[in-house]
Amino acid sequence: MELKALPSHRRLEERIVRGLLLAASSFSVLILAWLLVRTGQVAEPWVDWQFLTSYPSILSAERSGIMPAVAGSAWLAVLTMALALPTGVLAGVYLNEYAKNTRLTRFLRLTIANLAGVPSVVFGILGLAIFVRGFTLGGVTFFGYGYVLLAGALTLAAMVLPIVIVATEEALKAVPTSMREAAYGLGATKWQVTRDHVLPYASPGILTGSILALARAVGESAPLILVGGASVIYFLPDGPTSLYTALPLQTFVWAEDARADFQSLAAAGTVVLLAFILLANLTAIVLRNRFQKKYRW
Amino acid sequence: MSPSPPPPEQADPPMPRSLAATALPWARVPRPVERGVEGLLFLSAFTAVFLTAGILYVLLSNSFTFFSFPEVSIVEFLTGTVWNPDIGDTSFGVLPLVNGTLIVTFGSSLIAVPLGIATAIYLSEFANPRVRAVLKPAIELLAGIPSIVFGIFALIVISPILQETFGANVFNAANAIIVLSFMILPIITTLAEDALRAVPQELRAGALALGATKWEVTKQVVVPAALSGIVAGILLGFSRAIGETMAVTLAAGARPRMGLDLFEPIQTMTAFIAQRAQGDLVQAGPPFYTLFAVGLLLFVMTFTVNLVAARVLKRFREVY
Amino acid sequence: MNFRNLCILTALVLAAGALAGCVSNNGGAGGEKLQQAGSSTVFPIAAAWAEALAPGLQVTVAGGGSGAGASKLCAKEIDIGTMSRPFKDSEKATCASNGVTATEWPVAYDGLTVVVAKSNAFIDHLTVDELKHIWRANDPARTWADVRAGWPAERIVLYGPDSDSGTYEYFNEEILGKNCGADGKSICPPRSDYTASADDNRLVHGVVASPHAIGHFGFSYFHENQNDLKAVPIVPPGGSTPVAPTFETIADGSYKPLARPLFMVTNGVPASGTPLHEYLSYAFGDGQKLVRSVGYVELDAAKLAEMKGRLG
Repeated sequence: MELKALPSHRRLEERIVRGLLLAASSFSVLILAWLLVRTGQVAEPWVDWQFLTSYPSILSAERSGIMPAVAGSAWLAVLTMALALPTGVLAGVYLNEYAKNTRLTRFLRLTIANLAGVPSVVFGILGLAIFVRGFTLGGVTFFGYGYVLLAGALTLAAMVLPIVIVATEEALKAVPTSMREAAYGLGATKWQVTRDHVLPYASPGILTGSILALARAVGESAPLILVGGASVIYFLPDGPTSLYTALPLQTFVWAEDARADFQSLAAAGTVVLLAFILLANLTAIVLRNRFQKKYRW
Repeated sequence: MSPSPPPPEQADPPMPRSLAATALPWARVPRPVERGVEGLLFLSAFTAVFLTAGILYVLLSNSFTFFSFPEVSIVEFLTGTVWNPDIGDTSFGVLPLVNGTLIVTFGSSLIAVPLGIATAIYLSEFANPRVRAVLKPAIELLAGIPSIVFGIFALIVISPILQETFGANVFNAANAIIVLSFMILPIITTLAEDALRAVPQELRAGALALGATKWEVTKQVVVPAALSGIVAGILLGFSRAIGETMAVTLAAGARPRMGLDLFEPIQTMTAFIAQRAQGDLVQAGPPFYTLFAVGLLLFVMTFTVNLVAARVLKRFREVY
Repeated sequence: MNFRNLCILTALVLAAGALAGCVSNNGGAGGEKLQQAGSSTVFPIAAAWAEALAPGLQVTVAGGGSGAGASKLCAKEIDIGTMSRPFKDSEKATCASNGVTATEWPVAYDGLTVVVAKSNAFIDHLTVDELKHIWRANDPARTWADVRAGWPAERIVLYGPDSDSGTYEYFNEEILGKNCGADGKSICPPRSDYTASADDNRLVHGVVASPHAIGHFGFSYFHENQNDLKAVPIVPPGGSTPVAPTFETIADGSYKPLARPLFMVTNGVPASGTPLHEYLSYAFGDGQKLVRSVGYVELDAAKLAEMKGRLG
């Protein structure tokens, strides 16, 4: 489109609008960068090896460290993925490979979509009422584990389940139909086709999506406030039935402390949390690239 | 992987597993196993139903308990303007909490919607590939930042600025509004951009052929065509803002009130739930059960907005 | 997937869940782990002691308020409850009905401090009656000018503990009185239009930010934030000279009426050799040395001897 051929006011309008749109688009990114830098400045003096390997201290911000929180978050990450990954992948496989377009299937999809939109704090309520306190039916108590890692992991797994399902479905959809048809043509059963051909091909996509779900789970604090229990932990967790703290929880506790030093600690905790999440995202990208090379057809 | 038969002097290539299954009886997957697997898969998918049922059960049964206390009435809950569940003369009108939630939601939308749509339009219609390659990952990065980080931003960076410039209270609604707008912006941008890109190129080409500038095409043809998708994005942004907990808990204060003063503390429904969860958690009368009643209201609000957004999105997708 | 198969599968899932429920472990009392919850006022002491005792003895400390500490102890969910007020008779009864013998151990002394922001220039002291005027439910003071002539006509911004907090009960009983309610013997409730929180840190945040704010919480929280807060000297009832809260005035009892003991409560006297016994021995031994650094006053010699004797 020859801009010069237009009357001048339309030309001007076009130029102004382009400029404004670019400004608007960059604005949010620039502000984000500024916020990160400012927080980083506050946090920088506090983040060091001692910070990463000490226990928190109520008496002294200098002596405080984030080690139990890192350990707790690591435990939570592993347990949450152990719960959410198999369930989510199998669910995605069912919906994409096996389900026919019945009312039941539409209801399932609707439920999953709805679950994805539930606020995280409501998952916290669910976790508190059922995973922490237990659900009694006819004298039998289900769950009710107390404020331990397992309850936290169950709550977070419930929250990220829709993400894993959607990631799996997307990955499965990308598998060419010809591959399935070829396998069927050789006499394979549905499960054989899925297990031996479709899933391996889709696994990079599933893996990437799951790591992103993991990053989301590690960063969530609202459910952990309801399900986490204690605000001070001076030991490392030793199993799924251990009490714990986690990175977002510890950051939250520090942020609530009125002393200025502890506010800086909260900023430091934020930096560590962001590092964790950045690491998860980078891992996802690297793994995706590696597997794509391996499974090129 | 060779489909043609091997030359006679070479060994056969290894059989694909599925072929082995039909040829070798012990490698076959028997019918019952096949059915069992399908059952297991179905059950996995059904977990979502169990979870939803769990959520509904917890919220509904405990809210029922709440409303059956003599001093609590549903009418007062939904229409009362004083929220004082603990101290002295208790009053259970939830509107102050709803007011807090709505202030934060609409306030942040006022910032995020124009910015988000502008970004989406730019990315979809105007940006050259180099700019896109930087901007789009940046927006995705924004989406991946956890809400507690934004809460810390609000407390450490935004609050001091507001205190100095506007004499705001250390905890105030504007803290939350500002950071929340950055949290919902990626949602609006992503959905709006998808909607804009889904508009067929023919529409643009036709308008351009008639002599319109790119902006005129965008303004008068593409955006209206993508409107439903954009609206859906806005609605999902609302939903996210309604459900946001950490930024408001850390930075917006804990004073449930009516009124629109942005530089004073407020309390949203989500912040109240977080506060209640940190307090006395033993079954003991109405104050404890407020957690579930407010949780139920929150669930209903987000569910409704999500439902409307899904309908709008479905209608949009049907058109294109 | 027809209906019959669905039923079978659901039954299997429920069975699995029941099995899982049997295996559930509440991480409760016993072992070298102790669980503690309760008062925000006592929290700094509890946290400091837990920190000192780790890793030999692992104590987890949670908040919730004195009320939560009491009810969780009675429900056997925790080993130690922390409270900034004595056990109520009703709470003792609840405990007894659940087989729990509520045993109170005073561990330190606190002077409940009334604070204003450092930037507050006009407050020099307050009488108990003025405090009552500010905090009572019936027609309380709206502006500072209402409290005392000559003070600015600015709205009072209030911060205080919520009803789970022992500080709430203690302050209201001492300042507002105990002759309210249907039976004329309940603690009088305060006004309800203040920012209430069971987390004293929140209150500190709030008061620091406004020259017209007032709040109250344990001395430790004032002590830790002295650069930003000013403690208001209180004129004791029947007296005429304002007394400011300091370690000395709390220890010798002259800071009236807001000096009080802080408690930890257990189920009976722990047997020798148990982790709980080890904890309390520490509390009445080396633990007392930490009390002042946290911002409270350690027990006097007589009380300490009494506690040690009871512990055995």
